[in-house]
Amino acid sequence: MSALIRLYPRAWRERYEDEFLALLEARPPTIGDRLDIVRAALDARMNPQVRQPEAPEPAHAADAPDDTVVVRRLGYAALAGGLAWVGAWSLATVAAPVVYDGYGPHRDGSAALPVLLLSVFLLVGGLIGHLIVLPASRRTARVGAIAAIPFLLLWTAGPWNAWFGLVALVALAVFAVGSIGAPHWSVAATSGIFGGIVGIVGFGLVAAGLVNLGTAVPYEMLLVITAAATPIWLAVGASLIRVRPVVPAA
Amino acid sequence: MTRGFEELGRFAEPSLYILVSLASGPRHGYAIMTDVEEISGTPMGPGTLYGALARLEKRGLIEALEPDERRRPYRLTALGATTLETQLTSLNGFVATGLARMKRGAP
Repeated sequence: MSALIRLYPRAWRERYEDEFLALLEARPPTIGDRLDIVRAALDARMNPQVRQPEAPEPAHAADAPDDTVVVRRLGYAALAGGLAWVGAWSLATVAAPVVYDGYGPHRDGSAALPVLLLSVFLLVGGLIGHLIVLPASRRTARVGAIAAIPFLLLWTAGPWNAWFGLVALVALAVFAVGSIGAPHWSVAATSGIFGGIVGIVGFGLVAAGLVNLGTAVPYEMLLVITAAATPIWLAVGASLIRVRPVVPAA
Repeated sequence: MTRGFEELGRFAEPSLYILVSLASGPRHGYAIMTDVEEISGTPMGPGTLYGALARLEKRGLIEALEPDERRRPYRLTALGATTLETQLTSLNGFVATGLARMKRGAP
């Protein structure tokens, strides 16, 4: 339960955590309640109702759990998601068994689906990490990340719907541009996101072009092009790992 | 339905329920939650409850009292009571108009 609470900003936790935990102990949350908490925690970060005091923190605040640990873990998770993404496409293309059916011989990549889903979930986790660490003033980056999360999930559920993909990629681009200048972000991270977007768009264009020509897309080509999208996971993950705890002023 | 609460976005309706719940006296989070469930017939998620409480508190419509162990009761402020009365009067007018029009239009 404490993991869910830590999605809230520190100022909110300092004000409401005790009573909120008491409520959750009195009424253990259902799955719907947990989703409600995640949504409300994101809202608390987007529209903070409780302001962090500008005065130096009282002594007990230094002992309060820091977001940094969660954020860095989400960063490592996003990096692992990048590996899962490459692994999923390796499974789906060059390592999948060849089957023979009405469509002729082709590779059955269904075993890769759970790994593919995992890779997207881990990327979403990384984006949530960025929502935790990005200050409220970075509205462009935050809006990009918030828009990217549902559309990445929708696109994964229905990859044939190019609109989901288009919105997800545009949202990622907005997130990358909006993050420029943030302390944990870097030019390399922005380049990584854009490189990954080019990789995915390239994949789409090549695949669509070959299909229109009536030519099967070579599996090795699929693997290379989809692997080109991996910098998105690397950029999201590596930039979170750069986040360092805030050292209280002496 | 919740005119004047527009700036509360999706928290407008839950906020109104919370104000109604506190109209009969101070309550803590869990008591508000169960009471709202009884009034509205639908459960209110804990995230929504505290999102609405934070907004109401920030706007001075409710205030927190001293905690009873870890449970902190809330009560309506004078501004909260006035706001609630205005909202309910407006709703009352809306209901009366609706019912009158239905009566006129009944086959």
